[in-house]
Amino acid sequence: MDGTLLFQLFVNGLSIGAIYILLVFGLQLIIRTTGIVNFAHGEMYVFGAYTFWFTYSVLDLHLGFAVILTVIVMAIISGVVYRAVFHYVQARFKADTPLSDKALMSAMASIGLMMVLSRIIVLYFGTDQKGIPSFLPQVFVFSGIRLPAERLSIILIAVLIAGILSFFFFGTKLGKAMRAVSTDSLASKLMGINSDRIFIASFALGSILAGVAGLLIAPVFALDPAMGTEIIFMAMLVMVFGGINSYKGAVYAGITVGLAESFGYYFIGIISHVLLFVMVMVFLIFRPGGFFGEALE
Amino acid sequence: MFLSIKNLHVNYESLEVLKGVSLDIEKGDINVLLGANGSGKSTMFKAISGILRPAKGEIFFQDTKINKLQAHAIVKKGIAQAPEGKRLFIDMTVEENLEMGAYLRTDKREIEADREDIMDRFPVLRKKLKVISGNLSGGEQQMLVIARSLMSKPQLLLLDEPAQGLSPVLVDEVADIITGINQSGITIILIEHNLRLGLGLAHWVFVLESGVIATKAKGTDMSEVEYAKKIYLGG
Ligand SMILES: Nc1ncnc2c1ncn2[C@@H]1O[C@H](COP(=O)(O)OP(=O)(O)OP(=O)(O)O)[C@@H](O)[C@H]1O
Ligand SMILES: [Mg+2]
Repeated sequence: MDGTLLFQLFVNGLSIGAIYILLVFGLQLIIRTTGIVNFAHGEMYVFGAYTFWFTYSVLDLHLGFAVILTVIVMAIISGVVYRAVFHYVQARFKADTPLSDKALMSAMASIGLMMVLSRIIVLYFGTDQKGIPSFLPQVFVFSGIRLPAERLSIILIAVLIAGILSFFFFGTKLGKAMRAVSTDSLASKLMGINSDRIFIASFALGSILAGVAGLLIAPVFALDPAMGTEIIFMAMLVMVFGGINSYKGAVYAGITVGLAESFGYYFIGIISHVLLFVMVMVFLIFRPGGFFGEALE
Repeated sequence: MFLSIKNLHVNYESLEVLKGVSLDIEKGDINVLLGANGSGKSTMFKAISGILRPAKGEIFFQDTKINKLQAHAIVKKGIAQAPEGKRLFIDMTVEENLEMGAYLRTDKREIEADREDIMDRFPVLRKKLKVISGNLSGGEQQMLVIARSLMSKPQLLLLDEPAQGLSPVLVDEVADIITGINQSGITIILIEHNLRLGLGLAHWVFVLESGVIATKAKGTDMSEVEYAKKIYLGG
């Protein structure tokens, strides 16, 4: 076996993992603050990818400008989606509603929404695949190892975003308020925190993360309206694997699954997805709380 | 009138808990709210704080109607609540919990000064500012719930069983703290099952019974035994 190839598979795996991690951070943030399990999260990823394609490739805007516009569009779309759909779901949650009930209620709403949004994407952008010219076409070569700058940039940007998020949650008032609402929304109301506003802000931030993941993947893979439905189930799997309440778990699970996918696909082809699923199921039988959750007694 | 509740009805779905509570509270007093388990004391606090919407009735605070306001707007008006059951943000530090208590305030320097004053009342907490609040002892958590509620600089403070689960020594300490808070000019409504503590502090006592305020009395009007009979034996 050629070490160069292994290293390339490793970097590819890490970059896929980084995409999962961004998606799962978003899912977790939304679940932890609002209690909503959002199956339409994958469509946010698609919106991010297509908005970026449209602004960068079609309108031919400057890269930085296209990125900022994509983030703004994601904030608007998610704000509208929250206010139109999830606000009403959220309003039915009580302080003592168990997560499983919340998950069921929000799954019904969000799966419906997922179908609506994916149709909108097809209507708007068509079913043909779209490509974005790579904005980082360089390939670094270190002693025979070829590393496409794009893949590396995904990893670096994900690390950067994780750093920004950590500063946001621990260093800013809004971030702390999101943490407070996620631990005890009743107590946070008594502190004067407007929880409705925090819900919508968390939903928007989570959706922006999905949009950014889509933006990052856009130059690597061709865009396809079905990419959201494909990735959401993998993202959910990664989230459960890492533990719903653990951001650290999401990092470990994202990297594990990303690597397994990259190596598995290379060596055993499409069947690797099945094996991955089996692997995660077996793991969850013994550790239902995920990586950092409680081990089964 | 400082706080005035008129004919307040609160239900949980089909369960009627408050069936026409009326009460008036004057500025500066310590008011103790008594009542059997499940009589609706915490429900009344939730209605005052805007967590629950009354089905009927009105609540006025300093002559402004507040029963249609959202919870955060009520905090802004000057009403804070330390809820029952140590509801801290358990994965946040003591310092962060206090910061959340001051969420609506923007006067950084004054917040800092107030926190210092509050820490003088709770010396145990000063040493633990960086500790995750979930790792505090039960007593310390109880103290933090009170301290956090003071950080919004309230005029009216609702304390729901602040001494629950505390040792006798700490109960006395909480009594001193409540007296101190009151002397700094904050009006208090206290829910307390410990009659010795409650009656020891009370300027006024209200008894909630069958969904209405059945008795209003001076703290010294009745003995502990008489109150106990009235509240818990329905006599
Ligand atoms: N969220 C809720 N949903 C349905 N019923 C509730 C809810 N909260 C309280 N109740 C019911 O309302 C009644 C009053 O409850 P509340 O908590 O106000 O009593 P309390 O006087 O504070 O009692 P305690 O002294 O035990 O704290 C009880 O019968 C209780 O079971
Ligand atoms: Mg109670």
